[in-house]
Amino acid sequence: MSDSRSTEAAPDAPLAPRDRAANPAWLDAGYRSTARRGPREPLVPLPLAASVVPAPDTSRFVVADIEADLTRNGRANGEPLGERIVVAGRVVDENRRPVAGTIVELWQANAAGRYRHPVDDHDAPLDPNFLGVGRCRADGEGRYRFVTIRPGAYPWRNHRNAWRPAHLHFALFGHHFADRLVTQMYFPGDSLLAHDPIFLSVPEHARDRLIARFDLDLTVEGYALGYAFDFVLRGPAVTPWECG
Amino acid sequence: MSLPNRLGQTPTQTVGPYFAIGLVPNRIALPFAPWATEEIATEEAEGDRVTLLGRVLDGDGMPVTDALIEARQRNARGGWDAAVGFTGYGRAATDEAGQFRFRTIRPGVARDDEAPHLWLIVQARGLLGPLVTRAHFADETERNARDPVLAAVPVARRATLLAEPIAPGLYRFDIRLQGPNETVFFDL
Repeated sequence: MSDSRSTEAAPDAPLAPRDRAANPAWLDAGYRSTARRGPREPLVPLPLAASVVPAPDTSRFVVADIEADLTRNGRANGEPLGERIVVAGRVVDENRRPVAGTIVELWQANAAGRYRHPVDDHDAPLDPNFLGVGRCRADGEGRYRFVTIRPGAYPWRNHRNAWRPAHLHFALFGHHFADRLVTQMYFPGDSLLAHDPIFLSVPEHARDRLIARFDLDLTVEGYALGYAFDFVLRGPAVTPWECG
Repeated sequence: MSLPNRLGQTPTQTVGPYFAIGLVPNRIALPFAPWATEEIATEEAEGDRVTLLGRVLDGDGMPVTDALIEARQRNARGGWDAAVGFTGYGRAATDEAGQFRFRTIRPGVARDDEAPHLWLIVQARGLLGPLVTRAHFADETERNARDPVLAAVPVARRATLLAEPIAPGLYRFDIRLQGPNETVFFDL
């Protein structure tokens, strides 16, 4: 596939299409910011081979263990406030194959619903001991694990009395560059989910894929509640049994 | 449509207005080291140095000041692997003028029918998923004419994928999310 000039370790199979029926539309009547930002032209299809662009090479980048513990990685003079939680699970493709070694990135609001970001002007306190950013590398089976603080809900200006449900932002790559997943994880039983246009932008049948499951086995006795959440990325376009 | 044994893909959500915390913490002076920046290649890297500069604009032609752009390109020899001074992957966030830049080298190619290019993924508040596009160099006329990805784009819209030379080693590539001359985004 590659010639002598190339030493690429590219994934050799094209990428299965993104399941558009399980994803939000670009223009969403409930989420106002989409109106002038979502593209109106149809996406242009490409030959399958064009998808064979490997995800970034992260092999030279070292991820330290403490980066996955948001209750420790931002400490200034003590512990962050709020309810400690463990969020853990697997990164797999739709054929259940682990995506080993991929970097999972996390950012979030603090327990009071405030982000450590200059454009967040919500009248809620910052926590001097909490940055709200974490990172970890999935292991050989695609397993990842974070320790953090349960984020608070916060108001936004999308419509009158609009509140975002508590959520964690995640970003990760599969084996291909185009297999980019940036998403938000929500918590089970949150009453705000039924009112949140961003969550509701996902077609109904796929919404539960964004809600973590409370898991007593992930709970650390006397320390933190556990939530399970798996990421399912796209698989190869042609499955092995179809190849014969 | 999907096979019964397959898992459902995790849906995307917007990157939101606060992504710098997690993805470009250097941008807001957060003490957390990013693993990618707008510098795809340093002076040490093999290849001709180029800078890609552009703006992200919304459907009213207004600058999008909170967009995340990720770039992926081949090294000078046409491979995808990282090399000395070269990561092959960049991340940039737009500024108050909606402007972003990548400092890099001119990408190599792997085949004669391929033109040098950078794959770009655009995300922002108001975008519920990643938009994939590709920046070609307008002065690579012959190679662009042979490139199969450009060929897949309707002729009238191809110019939206061409980065224009504005100075030696400096190219401008604006991204229009919507409206007249909307940038071509790929179903990839």
